[in-house]
Amino acid sequence: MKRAGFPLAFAIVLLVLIIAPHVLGTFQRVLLTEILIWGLFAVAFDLLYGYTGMLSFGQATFFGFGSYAVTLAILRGKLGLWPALLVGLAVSAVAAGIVGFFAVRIRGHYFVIITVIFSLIFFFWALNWSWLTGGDDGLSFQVPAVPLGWWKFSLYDPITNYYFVLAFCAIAFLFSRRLVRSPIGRILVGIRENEERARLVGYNVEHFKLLIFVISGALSGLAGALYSLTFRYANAGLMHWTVSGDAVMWTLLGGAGSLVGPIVGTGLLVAFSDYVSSWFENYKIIIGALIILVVLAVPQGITGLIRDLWTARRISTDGS
Amino acid sequence: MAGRIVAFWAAVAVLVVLPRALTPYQLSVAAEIMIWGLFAMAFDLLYGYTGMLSFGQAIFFGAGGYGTAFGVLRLNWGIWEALGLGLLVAAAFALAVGFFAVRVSGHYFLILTITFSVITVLVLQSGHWRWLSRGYAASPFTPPLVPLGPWRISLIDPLANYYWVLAFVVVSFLVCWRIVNSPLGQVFRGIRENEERSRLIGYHVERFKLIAFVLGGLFSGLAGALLALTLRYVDISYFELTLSGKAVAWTVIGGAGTLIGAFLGALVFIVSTDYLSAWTINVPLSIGLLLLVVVAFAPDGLIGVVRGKRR
Repeated sequence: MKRAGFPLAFAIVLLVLIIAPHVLGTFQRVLLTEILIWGLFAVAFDLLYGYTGMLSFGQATFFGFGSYAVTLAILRGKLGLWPALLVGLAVSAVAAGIVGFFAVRIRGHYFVIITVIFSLIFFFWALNWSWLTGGDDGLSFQVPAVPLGWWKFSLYDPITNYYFVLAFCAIAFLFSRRLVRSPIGRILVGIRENEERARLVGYNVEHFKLLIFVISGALSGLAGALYSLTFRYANAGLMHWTVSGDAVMWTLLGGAGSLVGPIVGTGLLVAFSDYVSSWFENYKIIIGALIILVVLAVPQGITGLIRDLWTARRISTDGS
Repeated sequence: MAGRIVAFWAAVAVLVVLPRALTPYQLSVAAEIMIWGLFAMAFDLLYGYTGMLSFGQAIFFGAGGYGTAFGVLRLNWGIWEALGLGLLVAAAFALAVGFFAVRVSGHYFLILTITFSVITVLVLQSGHWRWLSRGYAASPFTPPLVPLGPWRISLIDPLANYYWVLAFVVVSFLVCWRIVNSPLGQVFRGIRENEERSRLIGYHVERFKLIAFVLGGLFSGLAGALLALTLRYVDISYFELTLSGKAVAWTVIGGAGTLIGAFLGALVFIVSTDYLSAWTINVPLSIGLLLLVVVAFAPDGLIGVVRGKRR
């Protein structure tokens, strides 16, 4: 892609997303908000899996931490929106730091297993400590107004809420893009391709893995915080491993290691589930079959497939 | 080697005389632990020896259990025919899933087996198959008598069931032991260590992985069939993904790639769960922490700890 390509594409997509809520109905607007939040969650997972090669089945843990931290900060701590959001980010980053401290030392299959274990531990913990977390019923709360300079916004207004989510997703996306294109991003890909080699070149592999684990955890936590602020509740179910599994699915379908891919995958599957579930109860079977197909036939995902076809066409036209 | 053979037969001898010291309830728990150990060993054959981390073993466990129950409940077959049907169904499922799964490796294999497992439960729960699976409503049945020479043995008697399970577990263990120490087992280990290298040497890697997968499915199915005959009911929980996860946990705790570690892991896990549940409601939490310690500090499991000390 040319140098001007990305800013232009980004601006166009952003513009479309800014106009979208005025064109769409309520149902679609809520759906779009949800897609943005889950898309951010999938991007956070992609940083870990697609770029660094760490298949984590525990990202829902940090989503849940972000969600609970914001909820409890507002509900029990009586904090304003910005401090609460900061608490959400900090708590999920710290949780990721603790889990990552153990997890990054372990490679391959055992890394997957350890993330599953942590995820189960925290899920049952959230379920059992219902005095704090509300357990399965969860907690619901009133969202305070957003002070921004002289203005105060209320997130109860769906369109304001949409823009609030969009702003964070756009910033997080640009941040992630900057990150993977920085020297750090190169090192992460180096670790994915060959951990031993990266170590022998002289990089402290564990440090970089921990760094990306914490960043991914914090972004997952941000997604969780946005989810709670949008739907005004948090429950233990958000920490369930199936939520982590969703991120894996979306990322694989869209194309791992591309940042855009996870968002595309999330958009397609969330929209598909929402529409199809209303008239076909067993829609999840179709999604499962789709994932099997992707893993077997199109491991590069949809965006990867498009990129491959594009490159192939350009090569053939250049050649002739 | 000779020491291990002596240890194995000593363990079998202990298991043979053990029922004298146990109450009927403990007897049934012991039989269940052996069944779960068998299930974990089937997983070990896949993971510990061939390097395939499958989170889908419950599919074959459930297939074995349902196949057997179907033979007894609907077809009114004798025990051997029903058991044969259970194994056949499990092997057929393993062949079907394995056909796709062995074509990918690493993370993709893991994701594929999880997906297959989730789909299986979804399909069985969906409207079209509920006549067969009945969802979470248990289908109870009475296991037919086991004709053995002039006798007819009822598996409802816990003691008879214990020895019935023990016989299958011992035979299965010996078969698996033979397999992993045969040239076939060497090929499995070669694939685990380096798939590419095995391919370059000239082995048809996919075929060997499929053989391992079907063998793993077969023994998982046997475990499912034995559990169905012990509990005298089947329901869809036999297919649950958490069972596959438990097999992973037991094998990792005991020590992967050792066969006997799977049994040790199942024993430690189930007994400690039993005791812990008297003390705390946070059993999954405690088990999780135990697993964490094992993965972080003793990646070769309990067997690895024992062997490391001896060295």
